[in-house]
Amino acid sequence: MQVTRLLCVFSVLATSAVAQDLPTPTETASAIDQLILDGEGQEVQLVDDATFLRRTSLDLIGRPATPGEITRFGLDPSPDKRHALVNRLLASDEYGINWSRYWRDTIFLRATNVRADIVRNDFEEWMASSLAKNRSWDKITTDLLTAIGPVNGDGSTALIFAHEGQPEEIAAEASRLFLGIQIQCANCHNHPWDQWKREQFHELAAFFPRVSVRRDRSSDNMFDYEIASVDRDRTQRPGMSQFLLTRLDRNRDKFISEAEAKNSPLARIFQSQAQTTIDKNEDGRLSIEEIMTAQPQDNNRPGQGATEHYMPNLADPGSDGDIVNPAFFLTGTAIRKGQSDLERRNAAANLITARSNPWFAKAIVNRLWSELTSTAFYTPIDDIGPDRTAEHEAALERLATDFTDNNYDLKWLMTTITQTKIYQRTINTDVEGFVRLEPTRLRSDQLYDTLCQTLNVSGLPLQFMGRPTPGMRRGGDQGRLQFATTFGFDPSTPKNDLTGAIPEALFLMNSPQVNNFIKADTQNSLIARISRQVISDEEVIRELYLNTVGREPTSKELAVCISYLNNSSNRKEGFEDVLWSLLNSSEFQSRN
Amino acid sequence: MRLTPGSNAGGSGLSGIGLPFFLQASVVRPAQPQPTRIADSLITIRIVITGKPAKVRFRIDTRSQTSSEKFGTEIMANHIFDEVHLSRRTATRRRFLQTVSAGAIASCGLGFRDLMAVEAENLRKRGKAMILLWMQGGPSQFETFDPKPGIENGGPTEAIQTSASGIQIADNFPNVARIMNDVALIRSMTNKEGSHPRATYQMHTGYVPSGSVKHPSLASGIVQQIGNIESELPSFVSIGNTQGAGFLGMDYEPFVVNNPGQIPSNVAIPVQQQRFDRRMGLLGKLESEYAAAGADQLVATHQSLYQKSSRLVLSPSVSTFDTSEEPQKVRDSYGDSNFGRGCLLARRLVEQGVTFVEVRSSTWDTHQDNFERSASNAAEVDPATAALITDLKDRGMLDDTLVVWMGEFGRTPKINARTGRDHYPRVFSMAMAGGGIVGGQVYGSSTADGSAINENPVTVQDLFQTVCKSMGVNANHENLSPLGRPMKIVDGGSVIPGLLRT
Repeated sequence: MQVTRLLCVFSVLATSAVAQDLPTPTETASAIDQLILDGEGQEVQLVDDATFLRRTSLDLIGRPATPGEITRFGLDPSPDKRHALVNRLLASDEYGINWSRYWRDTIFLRATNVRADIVRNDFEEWMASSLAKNRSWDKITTDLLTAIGPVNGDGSTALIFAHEGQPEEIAAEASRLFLGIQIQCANCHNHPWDQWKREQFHELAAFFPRVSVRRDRSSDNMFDYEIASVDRDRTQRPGMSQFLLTRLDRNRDKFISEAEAKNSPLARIFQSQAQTTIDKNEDGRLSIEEIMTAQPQDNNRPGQGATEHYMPNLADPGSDGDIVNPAFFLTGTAIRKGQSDLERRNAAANLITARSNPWFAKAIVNRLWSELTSTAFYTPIDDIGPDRTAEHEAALERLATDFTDNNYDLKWLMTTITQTKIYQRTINTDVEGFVRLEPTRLRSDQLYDTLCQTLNVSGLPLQFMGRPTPGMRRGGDQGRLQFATTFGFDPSTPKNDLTGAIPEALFLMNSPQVNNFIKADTQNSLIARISRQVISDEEVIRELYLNTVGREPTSKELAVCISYLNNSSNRKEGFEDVLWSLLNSSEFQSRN
Repeated sequence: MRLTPGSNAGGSGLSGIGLPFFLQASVVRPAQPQPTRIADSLITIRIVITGKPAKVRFRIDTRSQTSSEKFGTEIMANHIFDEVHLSRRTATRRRFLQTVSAGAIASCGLGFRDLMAVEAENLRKRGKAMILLWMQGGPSQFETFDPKPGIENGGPTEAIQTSASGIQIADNFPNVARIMNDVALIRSMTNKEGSHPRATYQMHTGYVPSGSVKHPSLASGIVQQIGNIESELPSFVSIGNTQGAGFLGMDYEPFVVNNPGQIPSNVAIPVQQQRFDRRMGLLGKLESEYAAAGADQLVATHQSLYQKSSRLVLSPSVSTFDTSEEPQKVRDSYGDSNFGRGCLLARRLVEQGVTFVEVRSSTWDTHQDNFERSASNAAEVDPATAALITDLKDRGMLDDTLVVWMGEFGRTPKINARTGRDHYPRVFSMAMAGGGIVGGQVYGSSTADGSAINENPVTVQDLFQTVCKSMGVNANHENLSPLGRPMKIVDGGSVIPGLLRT
């Protein structure tokens, strides 16, 4: 009877949900809070306005609030100002730019194509604009999986290009990013503790064999690439049949000359490198026999477009392996044989983003939840799936379902998460579970923008020492790129694993770039500006705190700084040292 | 107070020439160092090595007036120990000072002979080190260590006789030819990866790239096993960017030097040391406030990172990066090139206890003008490589320092229309010296036209197994990938027979 009653309640709820409009962020947020906090038997303390402002600004737009913004927010009497702030931040261009950088690192730091950086800037622009327009997550995913055409100028080609069109790499990354499932472990062997079989991984790869990443033939620029579909079976090329070859061989000398090949499909080999491999006896001529035997026994050319995907035969690694047909491991859905490249890739995108597939929503929900709350339903965030156990599974289910009902609306998801008490909780390292919160390291771009804003510069004068990218030629920010070579990390890395490295500390401690801008005598430096506006030592220190860590100093901190000033040989140096210490503090370099 | 090595009449600093010779001699034949006098601000120690006197002076900064003479002497002894401490995992300076009373050293009750007797024990246990000379782009085997003069594929490159009878190498390497008795060549390397990034990744990690896991480089694996965590200098230094620690994490990432010969960027402190110390003090106080507010763990990690970093910047060993301390003659032998300075720096770093150094030469992708470009590359690489091996040998360091010369693949036997050679992983050559390698031999061979392996193929795994054996690293040691998959340092392969002394 108990069960019946529950079922009734459930069906009423379910009906009302259908009847009602979509779940709102406020409803979902409070439901999630309840599920989590009841589960943990804990209450949380919410952060003050200043911390909320710094946290949300860093999270959503990638930089802390300016002192002016801090004052305005603090003075705003409106009770729902936090909600209004989130809406304002999500509406700004900075939101798209910040998160496009997050996704750039997520995709490009795993790139297996060394030339991937060619499309880096295009990706950032494309992703920023997609996010600003609030293009839904299923559409963005589909764009990335079905991209075709010139790589340069089209950021949606990033994922395919980052893996040179290699079907196995694309399958692995598509599964990791969009489903959170690491199925590629089954590439070489059946997974030791997961249910996935080798065949299933290769069936996923079989959606992508016809992708070809190649030089853009219509362009003279050698760094122009394109993604093309190869739907023609090389083994059945008409130009290669004995009959056609005999007809082409007009003088019947059993050799095909360039003149004879003219205007035939064979003409191509005289313009390409293939000529040298066909000419086996290296006599400079191509005999009919050489052409016939040069027919690609090898139809299996991953990344250059192969009509089918071959699963390597482990017992005979030298062989081509076995053809596998596309099928989706989560549902077992297979598609009709012999489909074209775009049919296959669209089918893959549809299967991955289908509403009936819960893992698509769960993967992105878990990822964004983790980035925003520094805790996660599944850790690592890109290793989830039916073989893993989630923390607070009901909360994840609810958030994922409501997100799906809201048509994979990313801004809805951000709004909802930032409204939860869990998001707004204070630092607390005395407990375990979701209530625990430790400050986490800023991503390279966040720290770079924080530094630049604090030091009042548009960029740091660093010379990029790595491989030049097309974006640099277009006048991109070299300082940001070089900074990332020291401070960059893969955003999929579990937060606890991020510990910092010596070169990072050395840069902030000693680099002439940072130290020059610290100096009171540098034109327009922070200290110079503050000194023009305020006089007393205490006021200057308060301003330094606001500009660096976005809050007022505590009375004890103030006392420490004042006492330091009094023991310094002169005031200027004292201020410089306080600023240096704040820039080198763990608080400045993290999000709390 | 701070103690800085002065220079002797010949212009060479302590870390440059004095003590390593001295140490070497002390093992073979006890040297007779004579601490001469302790003056107000100057201490001179005369060290006489059989027929080769080297005078080393220390200048004590007397601005720190509070130091007593005794204390000065003690610091001095410590400092000397900094300079002579060569062991990595075994006895560190700190341990040494625990064993032998600091007072005894300070009062000079413990003679240098005794000191050396203790250190000699450490020397025997001295940690291994490796220097990787990386030829980015893929050097042509025909123009380096597997010349084929007189056939079409061989091109115009001539072969020259080396000091090892029966071994000939390309005429681009006359200096290496002279020390061939210390060098073993492998002419039967074989692999499948023919693209730069994939092959470079594989030749550094032993694994082919995969988007799902970032494999650690072999260097990081070695440093994880035998590096000295306590060392003030980073255990893994790369001159030029290289493959990183992958999932092993920040502790095993390379410390990258972009301008070999100079103190690396951001190592020099921007203010006077006294002020720097005050800054660090203030930072510590403010951090403890933040820790009290709940961020204690983050602060603890951050503080340990900053302590490690400031230890590096304040360490006298930082001057190791400055090769201008070396005598002109030594610098000349390595050559006035980035690669030459890199090799010299590599020797200085290894001497100071660094476990792994990679030095890069990056212009070997000779799709066109292969012959001219190989020759001009070799003009930098040949003298530097030979000088490095000779120098290590002269200092008694070669047995414990493995030098490996290689690139990501070889180049095609066929010369293309632009007199270049293209990528060819099927058969290529590499060279090794030191670290127990038996020199003066060639392992494996290519066919007469250079297009295939003739005998004894060597895979990347075989090579890595051999490196691990030489370094005393367990190649089967398993690290857990972030997904919990155990991954061996080297997966498969077997030690190349006959290369290492048994």
